[in-house]
Amino acid sequence: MEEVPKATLILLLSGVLTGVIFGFTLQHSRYCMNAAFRDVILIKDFTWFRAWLLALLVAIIGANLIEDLGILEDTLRRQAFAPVAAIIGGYLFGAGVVITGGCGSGILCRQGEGQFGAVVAILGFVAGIITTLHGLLNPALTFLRSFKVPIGDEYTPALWDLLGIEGMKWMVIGVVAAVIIPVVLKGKPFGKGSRKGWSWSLGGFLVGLIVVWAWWASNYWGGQPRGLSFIGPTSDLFMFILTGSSNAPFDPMFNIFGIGIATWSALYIVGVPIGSYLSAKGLKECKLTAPREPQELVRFFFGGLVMGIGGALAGG
Amino acid sequence: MGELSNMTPTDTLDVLGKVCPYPLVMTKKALEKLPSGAILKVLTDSPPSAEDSLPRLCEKLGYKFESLKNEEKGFWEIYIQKSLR
Repeated sequence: MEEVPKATLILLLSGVLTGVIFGFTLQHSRYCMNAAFRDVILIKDFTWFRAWLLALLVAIIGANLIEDLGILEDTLRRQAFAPVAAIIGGYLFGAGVVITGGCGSGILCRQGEGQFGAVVAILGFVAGIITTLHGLLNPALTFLRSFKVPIGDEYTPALWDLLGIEGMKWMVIGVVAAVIIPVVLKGKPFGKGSRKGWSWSLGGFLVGLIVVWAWWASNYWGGQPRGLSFIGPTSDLFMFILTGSSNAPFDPMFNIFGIGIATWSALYIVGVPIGSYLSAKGLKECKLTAPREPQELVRFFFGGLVMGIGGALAGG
Repeated sequence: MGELSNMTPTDTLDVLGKVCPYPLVMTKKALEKLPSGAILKVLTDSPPSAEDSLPRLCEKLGYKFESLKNEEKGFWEIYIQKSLR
């Protein structure tokens, strides 16, 4: 551990607080990406879809702005385009989300609300991720991610690389914004919701801002722009807890008070349930609950497992 | 007490302990099976279902919706009347 830099108190706090703020925002607004797609199909309601679009727009503009302004030491760490892994992993992840009833950040958040089923789901989720990133399923990951498709000569392409013309980035972002803004405005984003907590639009806007913040903070404190991912960082946290080292292949790690070494991103995973707990307490929605039927717990574990494997295969 | 909760429900759906989205999916399915004018009573302890997805489902379908929260026990009794067509 000699060559690993020591984590400062401010580094630890910045990581945990990022998670606390994110968890608080998710719980207080009930922002849910699962609901964004589910409600469109199930009840033909676009409220959460609009919130997701708003978060996406704020994140795209903000992240690319801080990249172009040279605020980051590096470019945004874009992933290679590995369509086979993305499709298979994405499908498994989506199936796992439906079985469990929430995604990675969703089940972390539900722990804070006191749902014991979410704790079981996290166990499955962690098992799925670590098996895929570090264990028995790692050969499947390596195989599926070996089918990389470059666009031009760019192996980590962005949407604008499809056009094959330099300098089109902000033009493409402008077009995306022009499509998204009218859809968001149609949902009356400035109206007040009927229930307590924050409106969908405030939730979506803040989620987008936190994503941008995490791009900057992961670079500033974590040593590399990694953004607000959940699969890798969940692995980092639990590998740190179980083995003493996050064992992160690409990200800088820090010595945590001589106990072990972890990435900055592992810290916000700790913060999400804390933030959600604080929010749920405030809204009087925190209550220890558990499913009545044992098969529900099996479902949660299995859903979490499938979601973890799928998410890890897809690349986060 | 409101208008719907004073009436005898046609059917009761107990989804206590089930988390979002199951209360929504099961309520939607239960409503599909009921005749027009019937009242469905739903018991749920999932806040996003009780306060977010179920009211929006009823709003979309144009069904009457009434919600009574049992603050002490932390669950909701929800009454939905399938509109007459």
